[in-house]
Amino acid sequence: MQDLGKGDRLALDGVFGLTSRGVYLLAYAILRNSEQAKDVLQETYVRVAENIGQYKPNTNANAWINVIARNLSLRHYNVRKRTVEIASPDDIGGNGNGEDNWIVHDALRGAMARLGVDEREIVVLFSIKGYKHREIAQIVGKPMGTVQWIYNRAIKKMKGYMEEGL
Amino acid sequence: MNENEIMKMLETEADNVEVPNVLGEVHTALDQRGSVVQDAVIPFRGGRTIWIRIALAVAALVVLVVGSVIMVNQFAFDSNVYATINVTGGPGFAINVNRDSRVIDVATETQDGLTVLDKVDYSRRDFEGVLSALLVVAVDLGFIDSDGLESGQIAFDIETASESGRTRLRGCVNRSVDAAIRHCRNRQGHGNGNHNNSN
Repeated sequence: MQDLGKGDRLALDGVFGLTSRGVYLLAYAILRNSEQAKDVLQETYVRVAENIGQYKPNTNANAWINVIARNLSLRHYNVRKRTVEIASPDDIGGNGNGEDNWIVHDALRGAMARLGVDEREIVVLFSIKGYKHREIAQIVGKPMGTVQWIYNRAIKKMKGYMEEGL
Repeated sequence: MNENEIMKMLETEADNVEVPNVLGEVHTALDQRGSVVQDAVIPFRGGRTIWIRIALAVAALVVLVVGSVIMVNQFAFDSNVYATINVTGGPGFAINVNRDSRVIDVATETQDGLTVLDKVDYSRRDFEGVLSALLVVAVDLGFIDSDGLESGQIAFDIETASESGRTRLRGCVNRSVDAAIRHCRNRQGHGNGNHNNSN
């Protein structure tokens, strides 16, 4: 991040390699659409490069990048929601209009589909290795206690669904 | 299926996700873009924001506590009449108090009594303080004097079903009358004295 801040554009490749999985999954969790998640992924790193001056050294770079990704994802989500509302009210789904196709396991994908956006994003962030609870709270802009509560609620829903299916 | 198993499955799925390599597009976009678009970037929260949040939380807590105290005072007041203290001989009063010796209301049938009541805030206050205030104001306005208090001309009748309550309220009456007598004597430049006129 320091090299990127000094204008070394190639340093972005290193940052991308370290953080892109979390960004992509977060965008996917919110949007449930691979193409839109890919757009967000691309736009996120463009914004990172353009706004590197706003990054405060020695703070959590991963969280900072994910905050940008989350804001872009939510913007896409809201635009899509409005567009779908205008196009056809029947198409409106409470959880978005796509699917969690990144999940191969059918029951797990079905369980994820039962979650709201706020639950889905937190569960996905918890599933990414190396993400600390404090970091997740920073990304979603909620207190740690609230994040833990949403996570527990989501897991309970998923557990209920998966046990029904067994 | 428990939480760990679900998360393990999800972790495996997350590990296996193939992240699209969009670096080429990113660099192209950066090359093409001359202007910086910043509106999607919300400043990262940290440092000072924490203290603002703590301050807001403390403020909210204070409001909650103060609000609770006010609400408890508002609704915890017992409006059932436990005893009535009739003051006769001067500007007469009938003071209704609850079990906690808090004044529910004060009635008077005389013009002097109304004049005194106008000057005393009695609602929900401690009976002894209210009676002291009523007597002191009555003394100041010249409706009663120390002779009247000491001679028993001003009488205090306590109506209650509870003997222990009567004893307690009688103690309050005696102390209030003592205070009023002292007040009279201070005004008149006399010394201290006792009384014995409550029943």
